[in-house]
Amino acid sequence: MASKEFLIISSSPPKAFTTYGMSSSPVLPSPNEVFAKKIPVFRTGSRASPIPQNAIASFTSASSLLQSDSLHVVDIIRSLQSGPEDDGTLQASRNKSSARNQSRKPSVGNKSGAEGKVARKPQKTTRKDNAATDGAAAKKPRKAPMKEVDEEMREHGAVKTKAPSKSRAKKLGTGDVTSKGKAARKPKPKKSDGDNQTKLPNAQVTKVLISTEEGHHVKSQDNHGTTEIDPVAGSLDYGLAEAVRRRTNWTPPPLPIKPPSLTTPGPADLLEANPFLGDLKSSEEKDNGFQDLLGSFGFSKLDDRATDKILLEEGGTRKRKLIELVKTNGSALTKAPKPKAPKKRPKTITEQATSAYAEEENMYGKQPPLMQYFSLDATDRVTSDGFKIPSKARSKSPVKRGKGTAEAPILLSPESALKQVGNQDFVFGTSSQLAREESPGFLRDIHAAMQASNELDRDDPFTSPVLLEGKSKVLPSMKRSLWSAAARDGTGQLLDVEMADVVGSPAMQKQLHTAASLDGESSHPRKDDDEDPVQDPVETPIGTESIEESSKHVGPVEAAIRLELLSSPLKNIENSDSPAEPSVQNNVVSLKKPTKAHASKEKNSGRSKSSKRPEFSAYTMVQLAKEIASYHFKPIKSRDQMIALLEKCWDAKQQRSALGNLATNLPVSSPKKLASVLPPSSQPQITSPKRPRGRPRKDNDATPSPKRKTKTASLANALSRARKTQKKAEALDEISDSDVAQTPSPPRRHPSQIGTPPLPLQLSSSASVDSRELSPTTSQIRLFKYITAAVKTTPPATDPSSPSWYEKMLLYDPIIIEDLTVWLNTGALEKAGWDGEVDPKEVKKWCESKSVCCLWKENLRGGSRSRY
Amino acid sequence: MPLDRPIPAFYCCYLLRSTVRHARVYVGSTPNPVRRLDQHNGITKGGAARTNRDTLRPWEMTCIVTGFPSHIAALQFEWAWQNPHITLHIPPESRIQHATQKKRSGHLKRPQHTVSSLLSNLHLLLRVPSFSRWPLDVRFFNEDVHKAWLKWTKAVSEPIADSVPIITDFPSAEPRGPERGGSPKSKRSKTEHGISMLDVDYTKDKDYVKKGKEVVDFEREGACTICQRELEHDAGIYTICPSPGCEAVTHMTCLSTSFLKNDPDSLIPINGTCPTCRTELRWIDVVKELSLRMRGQKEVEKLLKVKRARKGKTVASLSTIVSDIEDDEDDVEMEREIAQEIKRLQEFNPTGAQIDMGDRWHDFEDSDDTDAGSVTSAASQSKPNRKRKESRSESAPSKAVILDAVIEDSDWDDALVLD
Repeated sequence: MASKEFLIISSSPPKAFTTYGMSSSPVLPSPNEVFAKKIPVFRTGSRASPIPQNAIASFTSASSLLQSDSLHVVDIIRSLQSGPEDDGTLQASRNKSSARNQSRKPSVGNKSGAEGKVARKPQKTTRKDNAATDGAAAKKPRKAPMKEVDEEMREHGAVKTKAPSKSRAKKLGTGDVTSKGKAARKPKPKKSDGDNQTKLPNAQVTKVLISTEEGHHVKSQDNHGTTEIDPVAGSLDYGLAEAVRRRTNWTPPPLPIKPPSLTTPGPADLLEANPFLGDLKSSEEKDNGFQDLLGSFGFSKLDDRATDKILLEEGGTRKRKLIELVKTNGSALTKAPKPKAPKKRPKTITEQATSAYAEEENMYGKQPPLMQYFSLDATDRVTSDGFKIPSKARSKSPVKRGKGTAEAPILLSPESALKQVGNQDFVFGTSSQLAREESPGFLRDIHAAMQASNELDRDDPFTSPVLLEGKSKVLPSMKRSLWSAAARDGTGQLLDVEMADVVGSPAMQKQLHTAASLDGESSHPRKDDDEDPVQDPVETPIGTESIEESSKHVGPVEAAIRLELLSSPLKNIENSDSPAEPSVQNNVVSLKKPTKAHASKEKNSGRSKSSKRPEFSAYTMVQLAKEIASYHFKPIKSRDQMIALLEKCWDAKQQRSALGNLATNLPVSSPKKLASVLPPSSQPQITSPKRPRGRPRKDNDATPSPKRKTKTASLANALSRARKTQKKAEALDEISDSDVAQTPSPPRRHPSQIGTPPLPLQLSSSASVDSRELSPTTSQIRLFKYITAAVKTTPPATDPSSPSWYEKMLLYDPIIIEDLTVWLNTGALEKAGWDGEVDPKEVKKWCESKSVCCLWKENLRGGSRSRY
Repeated sequence: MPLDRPIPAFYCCYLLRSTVRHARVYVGSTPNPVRRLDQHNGITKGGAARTNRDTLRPWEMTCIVTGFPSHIAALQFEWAWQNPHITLHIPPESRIQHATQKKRSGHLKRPQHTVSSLLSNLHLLLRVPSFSRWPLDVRFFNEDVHKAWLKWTKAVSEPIADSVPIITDFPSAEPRGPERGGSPKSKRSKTEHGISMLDVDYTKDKDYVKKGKEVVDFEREGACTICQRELEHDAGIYTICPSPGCEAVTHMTCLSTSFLKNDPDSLIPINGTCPTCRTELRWIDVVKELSLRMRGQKEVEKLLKVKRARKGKTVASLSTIVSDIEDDEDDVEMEREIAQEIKRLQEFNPTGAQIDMGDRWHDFEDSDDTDAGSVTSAASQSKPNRKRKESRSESAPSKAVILDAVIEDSDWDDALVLD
């Protein structure tokens, strides 16, 4: 029994502390009379001085004092309850925990007011009383022998009021005083019956613990305490008030600090106190029991605590989590949550992402203070909280280690990280696109080629690769034909090795030189990529100077052609075209072998030379206007500006590389940009074959004359515009078709060329159809005349409510452009002698040129006007 | 959807300037400058947000461009004037004001306007092909602005078309510039000036409209004066000479061709001479009457009925009756009519024919007196009174579409009874 009891006792003290934070209403002894009397006393007494200490310990309110005192009683009660538990049933411990919980609950409520405590206390007391009445009765008589006066007084008190309540009250209030008595009792309960004994020993233990906390005096004070206690008890039946005062006085200052860690300090004190107690008690009658108890306390307590804590936690969680949590936070158990919290901290994604950086800061900044804080606590309560401390250290330390070690190497300074990123090759595209490209090198090559081709577009390096990729996939079948087309020179010659070389080497300077040498004729992209892609063989004015040189390398046919070209003035595009075409046919067969590159180079060189640039200064204004229009520039008034612009355009044409033709370039670069910035042309491409393809488009699209004009203008880029007959174009088409199959296409070019095919088709068609029209402006003027005629010649309406278009205009009605365009295109223009259709934009221009108020049926937001 | 409205009697784009800070300007358009100016000055609701700062009020209309043949035309011109930096009506090579900044949206930011910049752009817009042949005229109500205009005109090599008259109407009671159409001038013309004297209705065309209506109603078209073909009634669009004694009727196309004899490339004539009476005509006048005849039944009705009422000297009551009768009357027309009334009242004032006017007349009298004071204040002060009347009379027809009950509620109830 004794051993069991000791174990129980050891376990009980921590419980007591835990409950200490609780109001533990049961402690209050006498429900009826006692309370009424006590309450005022307590309050006064507590308010006077003791409160602060106790309050610091755990409770802020005066009730805490009562509770603190009562706690001991509670402990006793628990000990009583725990008595059966001692036999080894876990349930008993759980019951304890539950009891604690109960006591805690009231404490929470009690904080607000003492009455609540009082009310609850009686209940517990009653319970306890019921359970312990017998024990108490037994105790009292037993006590008498030990400490006569005290026991007597207690007995009297009990007799006077309510035996259980009084005794407890006395115990509580005079806890310190009674400690001796309790100590004396301890042995007794052991001796007594199991139920009673258990109760008593627990109470004693608790008291002992408290006493230890309060001061070592208690232990040695046995005699003094008895003496003192007696008068107190005598004067005040309950003696609670004085007891409280004393207690507050006795309690050592550290206690208040400890209370936050109420559970822990208790044990620590116990451990410390145990030796003393053991010594003291050993000397005394109870020595045997006490020594055993103490010894058992030391060991058992540690074990018990762990178990108790676990049990407590478990019980709390199971039955009344919420309450426990509240108390723990508020009262003393703060330590436990603290260590847990750091472990459990949930990480946000951002935290995780930045953890590498953030933790470093923590290592130096945040953690140290926390660690210090813990360490201090740990030092204070080394033994008791020992497990906690190490846990904290473990939890934090491993984190630190892991982060520091694992992430430290990974972490890069922002600069270095940026560098790394800079070195990294990014290829943008859908996953499928990226996946399909077998070799990264391929993409890189494409990219390099793109960059080389578009210096202008460097701003958007990413747009091009995407296009390339997508197109490259789509157009495997196209490659051949496209390549073959591209491999053709303006004259129909095949471009040889050089092309490949150029492609392979994106170096721009080389390209510049080569470009100068190479043929810019067909390949040079014009400002307006849309329509320009049509590279005109016509455009290529073959340099007379170069011809001689080229003739050496060139086959007989070419030589003849060049001679013709030489003889023909630059302006005459006809000459260049007509000879070129036959040459193409012939060359296709015969000239494959002859160094096409040389020929092209020669031609280009001729062009590139300033001498070959047409002397725009010698042009008439009309001619200049045409040329300007051919570049899709709006008319410029200043002659000097026109000349300067044309020269720029000319140079640009010469320099621009074949890659410039790539469709990828088109979206990015605006014509103006192109004009201003001239990329060196890396490769000469022959677009002549493309023309024939383009034709169908014109027919299909009833495009307004201006487009045609522009197209035509583009064809005759540098030189005055020539007349291209459809026949010629057709011939070219046929030739190109035949050529398609013949030439193998270098793989790299495919991506770049993919975009081009549609554009050239349009251009060629327009060129052929609109051959008569010289410049957009002139054609526009002509078109406007036809439109005017068409509008004016319509007979006046016979119904005033539906006036003709001209009448509407005369009435200053706002003209709806779309409707007028439809009307023009559905016969009116044809009647007026214009064979073709008009674009609404042209109609708008016409209206504005005539001061006719016009508007779109659809506004910018897609809606249509409801009122006019 | 065909156009269903006649050429508006009046539509203008105006250059608004703060009288407090001359640097603050605003460009807008309106068919009724008086009403609109009151809105800008906060006297009535509906002013533009840009002009609602109290510290800048009152505003004044320093310059207006009038004669727009349609509200769409006016709005287009207004927008072009407001956005000279991006409007496509100005060819790029002649653009004189360029945007220097971009908005967040990437659009070009409108440069800050000043009187001089707006005048220079106005000068430019009057020269661009889109507007050069519109029947516009420019009126200046402020000497400073007009001086700036003259200064700019000298600086620009290319003058605006002769067809665009520049009319000055300064508050200093200077002799008014030539006013085509010759609006009736009252004895108070010395103090009445500016926008308040503008004809914003068809009043000045009344006789012309009446004549045209009679010709058509009695099917007196006869044969086209030009092509000599018979003009079948209601089987074509015919123009009638506006000159009082001339009843020459022609095909519209014939007349336009006649007007464009010397300018075959142009589409719309600006002016010409009547083949019969050789009177110099403006095409817009001819066509305006034509459009009224074709599409402006209500307007013509109102115009002519008003005329009859005028004879009886119960202008106000009759006019309101008329306005009430017309179902679709919209605010603009209503206000126009009211302004018209007011003018008429002014005319009557000397004759002492104000018997029926009662309180109203006194109000007007007061405002008139204040007008005599200062120029700027006159405009702004006289308006409130007028405005009050307008709003009073407006409320009834505009709220309920000509329900008799509503009409009875109007202030004119008594007038009707008297009638």
